[in-house]
Amino acid sequence: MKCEQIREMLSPYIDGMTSEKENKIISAHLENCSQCQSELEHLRLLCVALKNLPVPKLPERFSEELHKRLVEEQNFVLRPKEIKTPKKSGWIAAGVAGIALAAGIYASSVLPITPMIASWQEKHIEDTNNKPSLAINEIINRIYSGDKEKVEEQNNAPSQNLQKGTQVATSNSQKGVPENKPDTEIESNAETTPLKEVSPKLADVFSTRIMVKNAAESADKVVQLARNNEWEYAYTDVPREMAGPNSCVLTIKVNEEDIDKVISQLDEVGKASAPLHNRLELTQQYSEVENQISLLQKEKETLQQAECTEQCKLDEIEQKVQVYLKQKAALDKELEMTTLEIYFVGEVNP
Amino acid sequence: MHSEEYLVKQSIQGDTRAFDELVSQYHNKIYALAFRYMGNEEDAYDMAQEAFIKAFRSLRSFKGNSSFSTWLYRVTTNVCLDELRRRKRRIVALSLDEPLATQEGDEVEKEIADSSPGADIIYEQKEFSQYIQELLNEMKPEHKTAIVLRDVMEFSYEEIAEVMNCSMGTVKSRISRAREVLRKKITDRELLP
Repeated sequence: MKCEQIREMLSPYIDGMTSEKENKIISAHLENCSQCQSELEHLRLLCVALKNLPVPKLPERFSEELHKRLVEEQNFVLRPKEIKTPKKSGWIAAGVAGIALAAGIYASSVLPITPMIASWQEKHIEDTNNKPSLAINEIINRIYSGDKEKVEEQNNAPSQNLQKGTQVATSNSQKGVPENKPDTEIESNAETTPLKEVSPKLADVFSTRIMVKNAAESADKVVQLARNNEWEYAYTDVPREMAGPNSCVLTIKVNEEDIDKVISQLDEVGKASAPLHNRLELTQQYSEVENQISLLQKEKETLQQAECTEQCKLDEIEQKVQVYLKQKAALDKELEMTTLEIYFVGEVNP
Repeated sequence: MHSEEYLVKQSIQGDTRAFDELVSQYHNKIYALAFRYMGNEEDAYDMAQEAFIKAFRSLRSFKGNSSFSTWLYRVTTNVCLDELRRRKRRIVALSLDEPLATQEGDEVEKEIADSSPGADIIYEQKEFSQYIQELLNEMKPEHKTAIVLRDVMEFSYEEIAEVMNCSMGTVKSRISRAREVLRKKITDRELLP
């Protein structure tokens, strides 16, 4: 065999990757060829040199820095799915309410809002406490109706049931058609049972506006601030036509007494406008949730008294009760904490 | 001490502490690998961080067909080679082992005026290592990967085939070719006896 062919096999040969037959041929050749011997020796030396190449010491900060980045990474990944979604019903309503309030004020100055309120009142629950929030609810419902995905989640989110129910009522009233039965199984009972009276439930919502260069970047900075201070935060979906191309809304939950402190911390990002204080009417949602719970409990009692009730039926009701209880707890939290909506308004390049 | 399988499973669930344990088992090797690819400490540090972040992000795609370490080395290799390719697009550099095609269609080795130290200072181990690292930096990615995984990281041919996602035959020829280029360069400079 020629030297050229042998040399091609030398690399796998030193790694023990040649066959026995090849090994015999190579050994025989090497005994008689000093040039190939020398080449083999060089290859071996090269491998040793490569193996012994020094590696600098890994800086000690490596693991710590990586951990920090991983946690950030994880928060980023979790943000849209696990932080935002569960709060959709309450949070988004709260977030959108701010915009809705502004739009509502405008609408009330232009549209004949009184007949709309009157027709809505006719067929809806006899709740006397909800007058101030009618325009808001109406607009919220319109926004929700534009988002089918959210409405589809109605089975898991009772408050959205209510909102959808309200929406049906509103649209029917505008057409002058008598109200259909709402499309939830329990609400049909609600028509015959008067709602439990509850005291007005108002959630505090403060809104502030910050003019920035890049809305998304500034919002990220505030998210960082929120994380450092352990405030709950969520991005609010705002219809693009309402929000503009370079703007976004971030909602933060804080104690009312901390509002000023929070606003002052926002200075790092930009100048925040003096907060506007709004109130979000949750009386109706609250009373409906309470009503659903009491209806379900009555139904459960009746079934328990009847002799031939299947256990699965009772379990089913209990599950529904749990869903509403969770909803009630969410509303309680909404009422207890103060919501601060931050509108980041970015520059728009023409 | 938890088993690697458990740590991987936990990490998939987003448990960063579990992933930290995996990191502590591999960070030195990953850094060494990144250093060989990148050729300097700063880039090696960044690429090693990037590799772990990417691994954490894409752990769900780790099906357990290979060992976790092989998968991690593959991620690191890809991260480093992607970065090198990205840079290469910006700086069109001549590659040491890429033959030039002549007008007759023959391929000839490039004559590169190299900045290697002279034979008089070659006995200094540090200079010699630096010289080899410089030669590695100039190699084509597939040759560099093959020789780094084989001779620096001491991987088996099978493992290299897995990391590089190619056949054993290809691995064999790539290692062979890469060694030959280095050997030639070093003996030409009379750096080997």
